[in-house]
Amino acid sequence: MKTVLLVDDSRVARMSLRRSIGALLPDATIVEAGSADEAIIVAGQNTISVALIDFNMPGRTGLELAEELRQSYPDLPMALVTANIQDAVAERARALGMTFIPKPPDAASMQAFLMGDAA
Amino acid sequence: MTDAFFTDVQRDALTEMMNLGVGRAASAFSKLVGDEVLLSVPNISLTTVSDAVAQFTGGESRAFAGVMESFDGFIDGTAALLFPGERSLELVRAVIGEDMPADEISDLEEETLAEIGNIILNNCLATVANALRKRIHTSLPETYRATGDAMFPFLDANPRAEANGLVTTPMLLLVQIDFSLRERDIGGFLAFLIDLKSTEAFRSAIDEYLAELGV
Repeated sequence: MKTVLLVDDSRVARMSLRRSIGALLPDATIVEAGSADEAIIVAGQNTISVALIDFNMPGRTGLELAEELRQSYPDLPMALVTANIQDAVAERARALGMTFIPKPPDAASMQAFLMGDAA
Repeated sequence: MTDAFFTDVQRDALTEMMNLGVGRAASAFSKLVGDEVLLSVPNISLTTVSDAVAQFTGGESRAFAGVMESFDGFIDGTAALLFPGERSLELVRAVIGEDMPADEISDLEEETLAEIGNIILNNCLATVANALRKRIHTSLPETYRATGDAMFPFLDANPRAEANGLVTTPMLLLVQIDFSLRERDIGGFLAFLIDLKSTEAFRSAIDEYLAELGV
């Protein structure tokens, strides 16, 4: 069974992501973090199978978090979920081996990530 | 018509980019609310702060709910999404669902507004930056309430000096938008206040873009 790590400083964004993950993976366990620092702690306490990470957060950005997670979890499938759809941001995400998902995510890209890349 | 900021062709290019940006924002927004809200094609204008205040308040002291983000990069400034304050709760309901208890909805109102603003403003700014092949950094969204001529609280503008013909305020790029919420419409607008010191950089980025198009 999958454990999905959801990192976003907006509670509303987490609620909406939780809803779309639930629709695709009803049995998944979803753990949440509101910042990069919190995400590191939550990742240490759970066996994470996939991570969805916001870009713009107070403190460290989602890309900085992904870099750190990548060192500890080299095979962890990660997606950057952001409304900041700049090419430069998408390129940096891909360079870290992340999937880039524009926010709010549509069902197709969530499905492709959760059931394709991260399956 | 050439204005204080742009030539005709520069303004055309900018309008086209903003149209693309708002188009993207509209599609992002409709995904957020499950296609229950439509965001219309905008009317874009470059104006001054005092004219904008007059246009949107209609002389009355209307209350607005706003979300703002500052941005920096090839241009610096502040972006804001504003709509009539009394209607903002309807927008929030559309996003988080009607089935939620009233006290929880009001609890989530500010955060929902922040997320709506974040998605719409970022889509617009990122689309313009992508088209111009430049980079822009946006701050976290902040919600605020404003009345009448205080609708741009982040602005050090002096509308009186402006009215006297002294350009002391930033360039204001206004984008009128219309949220169609089932049978009801909520008219709002996006305001991009671009620092005067960035105007030259903005113009040359648009010129580079036009040169590539062979204009």
